[in-house]
Amino acid sequence: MRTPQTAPSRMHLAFAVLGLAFLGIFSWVFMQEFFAEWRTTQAQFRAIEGQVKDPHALSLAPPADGIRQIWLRDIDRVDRCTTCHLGVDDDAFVKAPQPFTTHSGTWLKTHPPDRFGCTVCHGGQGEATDYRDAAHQPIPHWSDPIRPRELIEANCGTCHREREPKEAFLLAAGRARIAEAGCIACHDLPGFSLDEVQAPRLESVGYKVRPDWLRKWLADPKAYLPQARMPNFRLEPDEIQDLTAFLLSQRQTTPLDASGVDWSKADADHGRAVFGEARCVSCHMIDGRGGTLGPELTTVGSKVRRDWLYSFLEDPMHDQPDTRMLRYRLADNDIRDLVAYLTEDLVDPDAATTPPAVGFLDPKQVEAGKQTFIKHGCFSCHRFGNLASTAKIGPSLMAIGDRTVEPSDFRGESADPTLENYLYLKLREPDKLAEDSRMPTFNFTEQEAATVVVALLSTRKADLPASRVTDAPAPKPYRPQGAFGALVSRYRCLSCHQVNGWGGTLSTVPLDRIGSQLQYAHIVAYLQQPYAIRVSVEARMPHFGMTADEARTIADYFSSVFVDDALEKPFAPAPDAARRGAALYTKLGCRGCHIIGQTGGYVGPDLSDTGHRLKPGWIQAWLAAPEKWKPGTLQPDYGLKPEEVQDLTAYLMTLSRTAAGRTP
Amino acid sequence: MPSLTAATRTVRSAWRSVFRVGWPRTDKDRTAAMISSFFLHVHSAKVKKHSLRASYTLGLGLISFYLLLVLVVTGVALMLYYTPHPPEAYRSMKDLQFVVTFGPVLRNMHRWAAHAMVLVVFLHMCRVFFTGGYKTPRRFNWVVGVVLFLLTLGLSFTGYLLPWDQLSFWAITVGSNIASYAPWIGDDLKYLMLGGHVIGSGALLRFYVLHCVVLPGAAMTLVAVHFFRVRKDGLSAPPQPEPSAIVEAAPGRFPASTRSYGLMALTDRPAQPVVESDPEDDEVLSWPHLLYRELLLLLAVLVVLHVVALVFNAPLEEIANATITPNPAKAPWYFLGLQELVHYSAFVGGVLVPGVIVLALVLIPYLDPKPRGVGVWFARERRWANWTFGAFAIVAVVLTIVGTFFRGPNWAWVWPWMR
Amino acid sequence: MTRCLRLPLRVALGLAVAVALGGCGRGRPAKRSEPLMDVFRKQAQEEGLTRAQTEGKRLFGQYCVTCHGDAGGGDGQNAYNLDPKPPVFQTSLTTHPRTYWRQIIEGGTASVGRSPLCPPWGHNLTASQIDELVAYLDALARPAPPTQPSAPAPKS
Repeated sequence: MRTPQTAPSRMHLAFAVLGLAFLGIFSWVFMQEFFAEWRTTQAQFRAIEGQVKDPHALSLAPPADGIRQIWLRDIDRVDRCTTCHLGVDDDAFVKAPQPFTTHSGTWLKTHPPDRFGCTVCHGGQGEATDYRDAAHQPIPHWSDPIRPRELIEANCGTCHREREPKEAFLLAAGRARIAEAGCIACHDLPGFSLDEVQAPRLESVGYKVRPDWLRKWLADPKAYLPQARMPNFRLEPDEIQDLTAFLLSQRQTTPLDASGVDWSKADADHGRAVFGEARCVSCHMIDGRGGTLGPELTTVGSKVRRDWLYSFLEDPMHDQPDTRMLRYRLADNDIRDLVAYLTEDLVDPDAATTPPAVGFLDPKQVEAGKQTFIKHGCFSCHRFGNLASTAKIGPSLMAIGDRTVEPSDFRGESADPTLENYLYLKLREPDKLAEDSRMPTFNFTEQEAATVVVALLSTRKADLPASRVTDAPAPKPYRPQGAFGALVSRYRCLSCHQVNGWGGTLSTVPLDRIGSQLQYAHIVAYLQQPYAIRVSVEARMPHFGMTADEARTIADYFSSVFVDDALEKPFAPAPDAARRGAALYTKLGCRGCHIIGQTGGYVGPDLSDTGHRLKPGWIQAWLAAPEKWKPGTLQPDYGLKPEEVQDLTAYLMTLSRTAAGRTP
Repeated sequence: MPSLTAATRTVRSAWRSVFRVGWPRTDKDRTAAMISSFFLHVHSAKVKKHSLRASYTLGLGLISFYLLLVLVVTGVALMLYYTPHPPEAYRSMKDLQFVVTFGPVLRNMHRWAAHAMVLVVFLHMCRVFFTGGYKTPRRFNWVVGVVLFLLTLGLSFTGYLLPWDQLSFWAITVGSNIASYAPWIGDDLKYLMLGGHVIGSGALLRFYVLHCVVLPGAAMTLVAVHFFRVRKDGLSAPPQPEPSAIVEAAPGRFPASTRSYGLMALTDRPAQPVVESDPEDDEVLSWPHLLYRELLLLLAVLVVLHVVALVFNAPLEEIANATITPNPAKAPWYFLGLQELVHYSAFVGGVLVPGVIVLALVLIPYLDPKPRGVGVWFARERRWANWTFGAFAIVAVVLTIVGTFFRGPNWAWVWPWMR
Repeated sequence: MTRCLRLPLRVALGLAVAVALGGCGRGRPAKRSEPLMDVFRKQAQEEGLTRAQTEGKRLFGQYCVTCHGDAGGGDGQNAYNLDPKPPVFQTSLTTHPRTYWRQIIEGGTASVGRSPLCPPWGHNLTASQIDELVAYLDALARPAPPTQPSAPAPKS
C-alpha cells in the first residue's frame, strides 16, 4: 500500500483550527493592551471632565491620554498614580467619584505633588498602572501597600522626625508615649535620648525602701500605683525574693545622719502645713490630686524608711544625683514635721507598721538576685554602677518599620500577619508572641498601643536625603556654672522650665527671654514668695524658701543673659493711650479670661499687678502675635493694629496692686 | 494588455529568483523544494514513516527547538528594555510589567518558555534513551544533546538572576552555594561565577553577558551540530530488524538510514560504493508530511505559550535585599533536587551526585554500545538499561517535587495543602 | 502503542497537579482578624464622628471647653466667671444656620452683635480648622448620645 504523497485533509483541518486559535489568542494579546485598565479609566475621566468643565476650561486642560508619572529624582521613585487619579489637583472634581476626586484638605499645597509624588505619603506601588498592583489593598510581594487613613501618620513620621509633628496627633501621641515608657532604655530608636529615661538610682536603695513594699512593687508596679512608669516584668516569686535581697543589699551611700532628731516632738499636722506651703502637690500626687513629675505619695509612709526620707529631704542629691527633686531651704524642725506627716499620715493601713532593721542578707540569695537584675535588664533604666555600660538588652528598632514578619511569628494568634498587627500584639502582651520574652508588660491601653505602633511604623531605614527630613534639633544640655548654676541645680529649675528646649515641660514658660518679659523687682520678689499667677492651675512654682541674695543672683542673671533685644524697646505711650486701652480692654472682652482685682475669668493670668510684673515691650510683642510665641495658645489673636497694641499695653502697665490699694 | 503581462512576468521572475521551485505540485517539485531551499534543506527529501509517528518521538526535540526560537525572539525584545545593573534592573522589570506595550506578555512568554524548555529537553533526553536512540551511529549526538541540556540549565540559571528581585537573588545565592561545595576549586568557582564573594552588580553583569551572548552562542552552535548529525544519521532511529545491519559509516558503505550519500566518500574509495536502499513503502516525501507536521507543532506551541503567558504572570517579588533572607531560600526548581540532597550532605548533593550524573550521561552510549532494541519504546532487550535510567529519572523527579512543594521554612517537611 | 500514549497523558496530569498546587500556595488565606485596625474601628463606632469631626473635637477640647464645657453644655470651669453665660449648645445650635456659627468662631460673638466674651479665633485657626470645628458642632447639636467619657481638658 502506498502512502499518498499529498497532505491528508485532516492535516488541513488541523491547520485551519490551529491557525484560527493562534489568530484568536494573538488578538487577545492586542485587546489586553488596548483595553488596559488605565486606558478605560482615562476614557471615563474624559466623559466626566466634559460634564464638570466648561468648553474653555476643557480646552486649557492637558489631555488625559497616556501614562502620567512623577519622578522624584532624589529618592529615585516613580509614581504613576496620576495616570488614573486625574482630578487630584483640580478643584473642579471635588464631587467626582474616585479615582478622579480632588485631594482633600490643603495637603497638596503643603506637599506639592511634583516634589512629593503620591506614595511618599500614602504608600502603595507607584509604578503600577492598575488598581490591584498599585497595592490599594495589600498584595503579595509589595511590602508597602497604601496605608489605611487611620495609620497614614506613620508615613508622615518617616520624613517628619520631630517629636511633635504638626497635625499628626497619633504620631505625636505615640512618640510621647515611647519617650514616657522609656523604650529607648532597652532598644535603639532614632529621635529619643537616654537622658529622657527617669528612674531612681538603686545603689543605696537598701537604706530607702521597706522589704514588704519592694516585694509588692516588683510583683506588679501597676497594682501599687496605676500610673506607675515601671512596667511589669512578670517575675516569678523566687525571682522577687532574690531581687529583693539583692536590692536591699545595696547600701553604697549612707544617708545623712538623723540620729539627733527627736521624733517625739514631731508634729504631723505642722508637717501637713509645710507640705501645702511648699507646693509639693505641684509634682506629687496624693489621693488622686497633684502633679505627676515626682512619685505618688498616698502611702509613701509604708514604702520608705523614716531616716532615709529625712536625709532625702535634707539633701535629695545626696544619694540621687540626678533627681528632679529640688533641695528646699527648710528648717530641720520643718523637715522633721514633714517626715512625720509623710510617714505617719500617708500609710497603707494593711502594711506592717515598723520595717525590719537594715541587716544581714544571705549572700547566695543576693548573688541570685544580681543575676535576676542582669537578666531582666533592670540596669537599662536604673543606671547602676558598672552594669550601666552593658549594651542594650532589646533588639535595635532603628528600622523597625521595614521589618518583615512571618505568620510563624504570631505563634497561633489568628491575626492577619502584618507588621502593624505584630507590633500591636507585642506591645499589648509581649509574652504571647515569644515564650521567654524579657520585654515587660506596659499595660498600654488599646489606644496607647495603637499610637505607639504608628510611631514605630514611621521608623524606617535612614536612607532619605537630608533635604527630605524635617527634624527639630536635639536640645543641647544646658548646664550653667557659677553661683547661678549652683542655684539652678539646687532648686532644680530645669525639672519644670526649659532653656533652649532643654528641661522639663511642666511649666509653659521657657526661660530663654524671661529677663525681657519680667521686671527685675518682680523676679526677686516672686522667687522668694511665689504666688498663683493663674488661679486655676494647680502646678505652681514651689515655695523654695529662697534667700533674698539667691533671688537677686537669679534675677541678675535673668536680666543680663535671658533677654531678647527685640523686646527691650523704650515705651512712650501717648498721654491718653491708657484710657483708650481701658476701653479696648472692655470692648474685646478680655475680662472673660483675665482677672483684674476681683473680677474676671480664670483662663489667662491674673493681670492685677501687670504694671509691676511685665515689661511693656513683651506685652506688645505678645498681643501683636501670641501664636508666634506660644503655638496653640488660648490667647486669641485679635489682629490688633499697632496703635491698639500700644494703647492696651499702656493700660495694662497702669495696673498695680499697690495702686489699687491692695497689699503686694 | 501587454504591459500587464510584462509586469506579471517580471514579478514572477523575481519571485522565482527567490523561490526557485514555486508551490510544488508534483513529487519531483516537492523533492526539489526541499533540496533547493537553504532553510528546508535541513530536511531530507524523504523521511521514514516511523519517524513521523507522534507517539514515537512525541515531537519533543522539535518543541525544544521552537522554545529556543521563542526565547531568542522574546529575549532580544526584552534586551531593549533591560539594564543589567541594580537597582535599574528591577525597575525595568516593573516598567515591563506596567508600561511597556506588550511588556507583560513578552516577559511571561520568555519566563514560561524557559521553564518549559528545561522540562522538554529533559523529557526529550528520556525519550531518546527509552527508544534507544543514543546507539550507533548516534552515539556522539547523544553527547552533544547532554551538553545542550547542561547549556539549557545554564541559560535558565543565568536568566534567573536578571529580574533582580528577592526570588532571583536568593535562588542564585543558593544555586551558587551548591557550586561552592566542589572540592578545592569550589570557592574559586563561585568567585569566578559571581565576580565577587556575594551577588552584586558584578554578578549581575556576568550573568547578563553569559545569558545573552556566551550561552546562546554556544547553544545555537551546538544545536546546529545536533541538527547536522540528525540530518546525516536520519531523523530518528528506525526499528532495527537485523542488528548486523548497523555499522558506523564504514568506508564505502552507506546504510539506508543515513539518508545521505557523501560524495567525498565516493571519491575516497576506488571500490563501488554500496548504498543500501529501503523498501519504497517505508518512506514518504518530507513535503508535505514532515513540513506540515512541523508547522502544526509550531502553531500549537505558540498557542499554548500565549495562553499560558496571558493567564499566568511571571513571578516578581520585592527588590533584591541581601539583608532579608526568605525562609526557605530555594534554588530554581530544576536544582531543588540537588538542594534536597545538599540538605542531607553538601558534598554528595553539591559535587558527587551532579558530577556522577553528568559523567554517566556522557558515557551512556559508550557503556551500552550494543545495537539492540533500538527504535521502539521500552524494548524488551534493553529492560535492564531502561529500568536503571528510569529509576534515576524518577528519583530526580521525586526529589525535585519534594524540594519544590514539600519543603517549608528551615527546609522542614510541609504538606503543600497545609500551608 | 497505548503504553506510549499513556506517558504524555501522565506528564500532562502531573503538570496540572503541579499548577494547581502552586496556585493554592499563592492564594491569600481567609480573612483574619486585624487587631490594630479594630482599635480604630471600635473608637470610630463609639464616637460616631467623621474624620473632620474628630479633628474638630480635638480643637474644641483645646480652645473651647474651658468655657463651653466638655460636651458644650455651657458648664466649663471658667463659665461661672462669665456674664452672660455660655449657651447650652444642644439647644442653642439649632436656632441658627452654620454660617452664623462660623461667623462667631471667626470673628467672635461681638461680630454678631452679642457680648465680646467669646473671642475671635480667625487669626489663630486656619479656615479648614474652622470647618472642622463647625463639623463638630454639628455632632454636638444632635440629641445627646448616651453618656460618654469626655476628653480631658488640655494643659494650658
